[in-house]
Amino acid sequence: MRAARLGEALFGALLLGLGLFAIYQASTLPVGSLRQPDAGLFPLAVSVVLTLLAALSLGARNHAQDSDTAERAGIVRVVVLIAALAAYAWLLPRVGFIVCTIALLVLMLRGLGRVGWLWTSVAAVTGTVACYVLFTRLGLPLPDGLLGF
Amino acid sequence: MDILHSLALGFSVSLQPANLLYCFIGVLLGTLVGVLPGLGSAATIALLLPITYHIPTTSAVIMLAGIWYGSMYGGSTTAILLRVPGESASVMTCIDGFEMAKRGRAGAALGISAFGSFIAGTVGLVGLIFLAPPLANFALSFGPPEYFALTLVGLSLVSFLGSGVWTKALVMAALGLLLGTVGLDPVVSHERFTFGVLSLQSGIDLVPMVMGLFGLSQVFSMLDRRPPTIEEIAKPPSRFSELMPNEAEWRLSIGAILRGTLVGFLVGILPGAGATISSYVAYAIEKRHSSTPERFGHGAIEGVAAPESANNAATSSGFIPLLTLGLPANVVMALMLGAFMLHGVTPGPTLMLQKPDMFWGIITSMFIGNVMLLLLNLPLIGLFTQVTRMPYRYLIPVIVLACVVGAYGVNNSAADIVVMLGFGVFGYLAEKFGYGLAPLVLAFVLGPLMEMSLRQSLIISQGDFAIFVERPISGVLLALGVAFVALPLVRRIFKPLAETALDPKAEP
Repeated sequence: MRAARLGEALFGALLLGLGLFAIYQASTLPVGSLRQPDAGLFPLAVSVVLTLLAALSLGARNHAQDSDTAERAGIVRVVVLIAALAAYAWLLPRVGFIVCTIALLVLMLRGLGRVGWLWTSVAAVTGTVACYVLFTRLGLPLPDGLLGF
Repeated sequence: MDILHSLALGFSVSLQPANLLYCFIGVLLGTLVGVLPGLGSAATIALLLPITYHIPTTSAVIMLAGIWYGSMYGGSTTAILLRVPGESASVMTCIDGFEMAKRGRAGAALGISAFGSFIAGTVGLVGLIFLAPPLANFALSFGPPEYFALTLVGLSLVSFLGSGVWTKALVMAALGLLLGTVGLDPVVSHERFTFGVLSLQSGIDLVPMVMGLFGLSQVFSMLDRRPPTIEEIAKPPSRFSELMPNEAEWRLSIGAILRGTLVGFLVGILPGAGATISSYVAYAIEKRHSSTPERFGHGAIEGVAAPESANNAATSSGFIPLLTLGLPANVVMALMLGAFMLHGVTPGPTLMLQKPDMFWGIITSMFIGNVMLLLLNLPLIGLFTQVTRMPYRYLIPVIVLACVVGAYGVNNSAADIVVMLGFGVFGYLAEKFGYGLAPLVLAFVLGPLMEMSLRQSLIISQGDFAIFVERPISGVLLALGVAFVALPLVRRIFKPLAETALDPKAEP
């Protein structure tokens, strides 16, 4: 529970920081005047409001927190998937859709879902190939990469 | 006469074979995700947005709308048989629906929610048909000050009516407005918050953003906990005849269905309220109105009929603000606005005049969709209950694959996968810490309109803010908004004070 409260405070601080950064950025834009508003007026006004509200809500309690049932092993699974997706985005144009997607599906089915190897390989390969065929037919070219497909 | 003419035009569009097919796909998908507890209609519509690039605007909206009202039908099945809400709008149905199922009246509960949904959805559409044209005509006279007032009041109401702490909801609304300003300024083309990145000049793309916020973030919250254990599953009715409520049940329900329809219709128009809140309100009214309130919670059929009717009426009336004013009242409507905009169509008061075939085609398709749902739902309930057993370990890869391919497909660029991942992580954390995502997305899509109308108003008025109060329509709108927001706050501040003043023994 204490970790959750700390996380909430950090997230609130992040929003506050975002607001301050936006004020700084918006103040470099031409603001104009109320009679002749320019590009910066609305962003500046919105960032000021964002900062004030973020500061206000730092003190607010989250009532839903107590019913949150996240577990430590679960957080690890989330972090693994985030890292895998980041790697996927980086590798996709380099290695190609087929290889990357099979790897991603194997990770999710076998690694996160504990599906048996046989089912994992069948589902990963057919899912990827079906997706590839469907979308290239629809006119969406998916990256080919190393293997030429 | 005029309306009959328009309806004929509408049906000539919605009865085209291709549109019938898209309508069927929409309601079938909607029922399936409605039945599935982990996946909501907003997430599904977000996942399907990229596909709608490839089909005509009218068909795309027909399909997406089908997902929305279809999910309302599906949500009740899970609520009644498993006591797990398939959709957030079917939370109230769990209470009495499951109690009825335990007593062997699962069939009647399922039947009454299907019939109630059908009646409410259809009556709601009739209301939509009669209200939309005069409202759109009225809105034609709106100028920039009126639109600024509408967006401002709308966003405030979204934050106050939504769940959670209102300051947090307003933070998300402000952040959404800010994200909406990224890119080239609409008037003078000055770069804003682009940090020299070329692809940011056209602004943040809605598709990877909502796929991350609703699709991926949903996957993360499925992963971080044990899947919900379903304690008992009520026996689904095996014969079609079991789905018919008996005469006594009909007599109890018919009033509840009609009241639920009215409540749902009215609440559905309000910004931010939508289907979920309307079902709470309808249940509460039914319980208060009843001469035997003690039956509620122990299998009262009105407790199923009223909320299920309300959420379907709300899905129909939710289209009114979007189709007549161009303003989405809830997240699903914001996504629908996104679908229109992907095709370069701006919904609003002129839609009915300039594209009557599209306007009436979409509305009449919902009649067809509701008939399909009634025919689909009753015989196939046994099949749909099987779907609820689909474990997360198969559901997650499907959602992730749809997200990745969809985001990549927007601009054929892996950078959009990174954008989606960023929004996915942000959305997951935001939900965890009580910051709702609905105000963010609504503010993001409304932001450009709000900014343009503010700037134009200030130019008209030479920098005088009095223009928003002096013009009658915007003045009334702002006053209503202020009253709506201020009254509960005043009451909340003064009620404890008054109580302590009246009761000397109370804690200060």
